[in-house]
Amino acid sequence: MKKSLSLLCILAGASLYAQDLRKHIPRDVDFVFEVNSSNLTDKLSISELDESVFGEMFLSELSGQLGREFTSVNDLGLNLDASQYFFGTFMDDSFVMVYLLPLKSASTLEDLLNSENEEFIQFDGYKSVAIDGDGALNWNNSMLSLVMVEDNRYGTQQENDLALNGYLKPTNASILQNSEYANQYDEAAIGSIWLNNTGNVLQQLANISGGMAETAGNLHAEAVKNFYRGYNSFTVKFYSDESESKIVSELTLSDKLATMHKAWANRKFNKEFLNYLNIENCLGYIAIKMNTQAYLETYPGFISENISSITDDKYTKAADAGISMFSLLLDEAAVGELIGGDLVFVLNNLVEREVEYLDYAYDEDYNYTETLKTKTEKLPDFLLMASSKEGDFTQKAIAFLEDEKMVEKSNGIYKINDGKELPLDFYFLYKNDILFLGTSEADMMAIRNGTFLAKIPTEHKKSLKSNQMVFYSDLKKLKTVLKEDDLGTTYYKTFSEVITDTPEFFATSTVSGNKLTGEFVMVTPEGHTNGLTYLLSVIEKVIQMK
Amino acid sequence: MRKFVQVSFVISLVFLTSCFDVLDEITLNADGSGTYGLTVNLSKSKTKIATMMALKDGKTPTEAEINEEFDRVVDQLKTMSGISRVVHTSDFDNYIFMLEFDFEKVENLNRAVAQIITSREKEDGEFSISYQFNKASKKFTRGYTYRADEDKVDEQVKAEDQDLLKEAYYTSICRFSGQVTSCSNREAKISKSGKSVLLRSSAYDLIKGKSNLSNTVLLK
Repeated sequence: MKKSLSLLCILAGASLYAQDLRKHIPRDVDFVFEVNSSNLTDKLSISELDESVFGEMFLSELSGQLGREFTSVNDLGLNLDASQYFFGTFMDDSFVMVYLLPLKSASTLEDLLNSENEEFIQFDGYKSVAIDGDGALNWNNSMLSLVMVEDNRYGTQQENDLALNGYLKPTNASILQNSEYANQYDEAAIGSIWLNNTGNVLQQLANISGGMAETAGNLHAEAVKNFYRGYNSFTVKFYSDESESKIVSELTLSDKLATMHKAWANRKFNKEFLNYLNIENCLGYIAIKMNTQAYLETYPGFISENISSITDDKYTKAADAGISMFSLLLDEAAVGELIGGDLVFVLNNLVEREVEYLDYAYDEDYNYTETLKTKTEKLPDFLLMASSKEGDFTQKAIAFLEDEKMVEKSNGIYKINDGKELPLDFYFLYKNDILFLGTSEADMMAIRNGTFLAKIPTEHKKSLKSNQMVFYSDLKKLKTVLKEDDLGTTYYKTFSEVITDTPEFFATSTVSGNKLTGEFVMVTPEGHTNGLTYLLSVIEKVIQMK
Repeated sequence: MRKFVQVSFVISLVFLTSCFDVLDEITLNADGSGTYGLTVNLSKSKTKIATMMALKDGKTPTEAEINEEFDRVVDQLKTMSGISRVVHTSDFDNYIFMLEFDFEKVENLNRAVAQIITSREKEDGEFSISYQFNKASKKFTRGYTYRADEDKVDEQVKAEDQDLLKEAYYTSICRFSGQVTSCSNREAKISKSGKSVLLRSSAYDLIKGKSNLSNTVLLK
């Protein structure tokens, strides 16, 4: 049977023509994984797949196991144009997992199984072979299913029925009738994951890991479910084309949670920040915005509600008391003014700085004297800006720090003096209700004088305005400033050899409607056909390094 | 404000490398008494250490904790028979720490060194240093045992830390009142005057068990 399983593994990497196997997936399954083989082979040809490190590994493994030579995944009788699916359903006492694969013809498969002297059971229009008591491999001329059942009560009628049916016949109540699934489905994705209910799946996974028969495990699983109640369906999709590779995730929230998340997100991006961001001169940035006041007002209640679901009464009361105290002590509106909730951290450069250290010089009789030497270290040059009203409190705090000689003011800019020699100079200033903290005195002066040269492309502006979180990194630039000494041999080797083409990364997150979405984009570097071939080349390099 | 400073410190941590030097020095008189000094010099990594200490991450000891630990060792040494003039310095600007004391006999030194090692070593028995001096035969021996487990080092010490250990050095200097005629350790170097012996090894080689600090010195 091992051979059959290896065969299935091979198929995960590739797939051919338009059978819609979704019609075979029941409407109420808990999760569905899909590899859209047609999209995949659009980006990566069969020969590229065969020659890739994965292809070679699988083909050689399969050849070894079956004692015959396979040179291409095309020889395996699979339909590499249709999607393949892996789905599962959690039942009261069991967990059913199914792998559906489209076939070009059943003869190759039967040939392989015959060589193992497997005995096929013939049913009406399909054949089946049992797998070590916990599942069955079923197929007809156009598709193959592997049904695996994990259960406590071995061999219930329901599971047998499922296994026997083999999912080889389309069902009237298929996943296509599930509006949640159908609405999110995107045929452009190369791969996708869909969870019907995040809380439920996490609970079931906790259940399985905690041991289904144990009460403690069940209690834990119940708590997990309660904690994540309100987190409904969840999807992750992977796309790749000539210009970029992209992962998009979407978590559907209950109305209550969505209202809360929207309140947290209800803050406009401080456009003033754009005056102090120069993309051409920076290595990357992180921007975050959040409505601090709304967060402080709603978070205690949220936590209180969830703690009650995961702990016993004694702790709930203690937690409630603590949370009430938190709300009483904080003036949410005042804190909201002081810490606006939006900030941008810009890594401008890594600057070399000479640092002195003491070493020893030995004479010919090994008497030694301390000698002062210098070495170069690379330190970050950054600028952090955060919305913050310079009110009474901040003025008093700064006055106190000045009195204590912890900060000194010169030309309207404060320099932090921690009493010890800091590795970097830190400056801060307030301007237009923004607190600026940075390492470059020149930048601070430019900000104060209004001469800071900003340069920010439209797509960055758009992204910053519409997202709760934006992360951007230009690895190409980072690579030009980082040397082996800065990272240590091992890190540098990984960094420089794996990321030789150094693309740009963009990650964003936002709330829209009832959905919490995240997006991770990697720009395809020049010289690569598309994002997928690039990613594959990176993975190959990592494997080769090991 | 502290949070903001911390953010920048964390970023800077990623880009820094560090190394250190350990220097131990024995001056042995003809009667078997002498002076022992141990210096740990972290000066080359002072930016990183200052950063880690400023972060107060709970893992890096504070100045007060380092001083407290030092004082504890010094107090213990002061109560030991045959040990006198225990002095120590902590330079928190350059991160250089020095401990020095006089011993009446090599046996006293052995107990003191064992005390210092056990105060730092959680798993005892893996590493030990002991000295012997035979006045009659004028033979000075440094015994060094270390149960090196190369695989364990490769498994447990991250690759990047291994790089750092290659840059960290242990230097041992022994000074004698008489001339040295021979050393058993091939790596040992005899000074021009013939009265001092130097042994130097990277921390990586020591931990991997590739170099050995054992040495028998014969004096004229």
